Amino acid sequence: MPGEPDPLYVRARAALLDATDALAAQIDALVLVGAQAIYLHTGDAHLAVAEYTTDADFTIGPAELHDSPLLAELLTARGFTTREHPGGWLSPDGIYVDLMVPEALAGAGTRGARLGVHGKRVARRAKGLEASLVDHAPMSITALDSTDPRSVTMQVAGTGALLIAKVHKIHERTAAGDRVRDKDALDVLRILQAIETSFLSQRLDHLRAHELSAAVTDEGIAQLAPLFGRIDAVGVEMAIRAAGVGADPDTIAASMTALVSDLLAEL
Amino acid sequence: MSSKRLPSETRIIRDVERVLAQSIPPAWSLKTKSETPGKGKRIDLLVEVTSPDGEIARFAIEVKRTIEPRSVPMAAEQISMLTTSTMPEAIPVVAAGYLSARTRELLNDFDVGYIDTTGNIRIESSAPGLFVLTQGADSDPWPQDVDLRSLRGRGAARAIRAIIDTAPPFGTRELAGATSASAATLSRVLELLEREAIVTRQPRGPVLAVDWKAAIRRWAEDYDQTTSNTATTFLDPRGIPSIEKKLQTTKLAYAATGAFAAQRFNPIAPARTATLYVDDVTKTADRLGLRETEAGANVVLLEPFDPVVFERATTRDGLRCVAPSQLAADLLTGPGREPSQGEEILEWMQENEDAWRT
Repeated sequence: MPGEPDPLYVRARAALLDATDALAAQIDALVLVGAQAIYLHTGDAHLAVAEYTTDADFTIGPAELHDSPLLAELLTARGFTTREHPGGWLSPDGIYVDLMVPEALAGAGTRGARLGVHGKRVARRAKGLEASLVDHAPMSITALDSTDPRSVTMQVAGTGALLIAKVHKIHERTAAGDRVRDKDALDVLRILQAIETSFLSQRLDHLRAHELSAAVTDEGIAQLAPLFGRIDAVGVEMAIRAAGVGADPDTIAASMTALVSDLLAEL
Repeated sequence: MSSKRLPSETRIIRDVERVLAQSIPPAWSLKTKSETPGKGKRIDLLVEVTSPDGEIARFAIEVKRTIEPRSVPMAAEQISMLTTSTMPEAIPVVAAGYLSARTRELLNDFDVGYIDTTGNIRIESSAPGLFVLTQGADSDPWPQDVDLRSLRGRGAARAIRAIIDTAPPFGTRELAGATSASAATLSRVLELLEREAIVTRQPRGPVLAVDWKAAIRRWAEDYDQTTSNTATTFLDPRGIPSIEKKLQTTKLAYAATGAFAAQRFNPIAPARTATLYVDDVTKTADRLGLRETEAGANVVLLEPFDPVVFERATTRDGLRCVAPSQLAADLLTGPGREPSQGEEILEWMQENEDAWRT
């Protein structure tokens, strides 16, 4: 549907560009992940979005990261402030920006990623993001506000990697009984709906064949059926709650289970 | 169906008194008077309703055994004039054994109250303040089967669609030549619509005016989107946007209707279901990659009751949609919130008459 994008989404895109402006000197080490990366693929720019979908999430590839300039200095120079946990940043406009390093490359420790001279608080470690350093491609990202002329070309995680990352996040948090955002399950459905099953299965096959991403991809695929394979599965119920009153719960459930079953049949 | 005998006028007067007595507020009282002052034509029934404070409202009631919509103007004028000349403080009312929805609507337009023996009542008085509005039967308990009474069926649908979609004046033969409707059916349907005061025509001559909104509503009494057509439900797991995309390039014969098509005329709420008329349900489901389902369906394929549903379909924003007259009838008789969207389409049709009426 034509129409203006949600104002919150316009702000989130602007904060994303604030972050990439600030980190321009290290942009080659960054891959955009999370909801904003998903929407770039699924074309849902006109969705009404909830507050927490507007975070700008980046994976850092330690191999591409230069020792200088320091990430933390680049961010603080542009008015970004740190939050309580490692890797958590707040844009001058109040949008969350998360810097993350895949668990497999994050070194020792439990929360902060060890990034040499950059320290252990600038980014946090996260399992499941390994795939985003294998499956990514450059995309041009422009501001959604017509008066903002900015744009950036940067690496954006592919749909296979984004699917695996979301599945890991939902699995980890539901398994640990942590608070989990229902919206994450709806993002999984968006990927499954927007991307052809055969294309997605090829991406996942590619990720399974790569040393860095093979293990997390296999684990992610193994979680698809328990999380989304039945109409009463926990991930399906999350997606139904997140879709709200405008959507038919039965349609969400039937769609999700059908698409997951199609994907598993092709793998 | 055999026709039951119409009750006599005396019987109707008694029944009118009875239903009226049952519907006034508890503390009020009702008295009927058979004698009326004045000479010449007399008032059939005079009713006095007394409020708890002792104020009296008088209703002058013209009683008919039966009254068709086209007789309303004359009956309304008659009772109004009679009341003005013999008892100006009384309120004019028309009563009959049964009054159809169309008859009641017209009486209301003429500012005349009405009562029928099945309990359809609308009477109003300002001093004392009294307003009675009750709902009785929806269909005539005493149908007289001399004329076409229903717009059910394929022939009637072709005729009504042609009559609605064509700007008058037009002749029956001319219209039959230009559309898929037969002259014989057109003529019977026009007679029905004329009796219901929906079309005006010269005696044995062309149709001069059509109240197209009333014609659509009349058709919707006998037609039903989900039961007149054969519906099968499906799931497109990729959602409505995916169906829209596939339909933009398909060579399949289809026409969208319901909320899905309504969105193309008046984009208010996104449709949760895509409803399509198709000529081959199995082939369409196969080509569009739909899965048959009962729970969670988001696509409804309708095997049409007649190919007339495809007539005068237009492409709007990449989607082939049924003609507005078909869409309005489908929405008014559709599921969920569709009837209220039907009212919105009628408004759109009012504002864009040149776009769909030729």
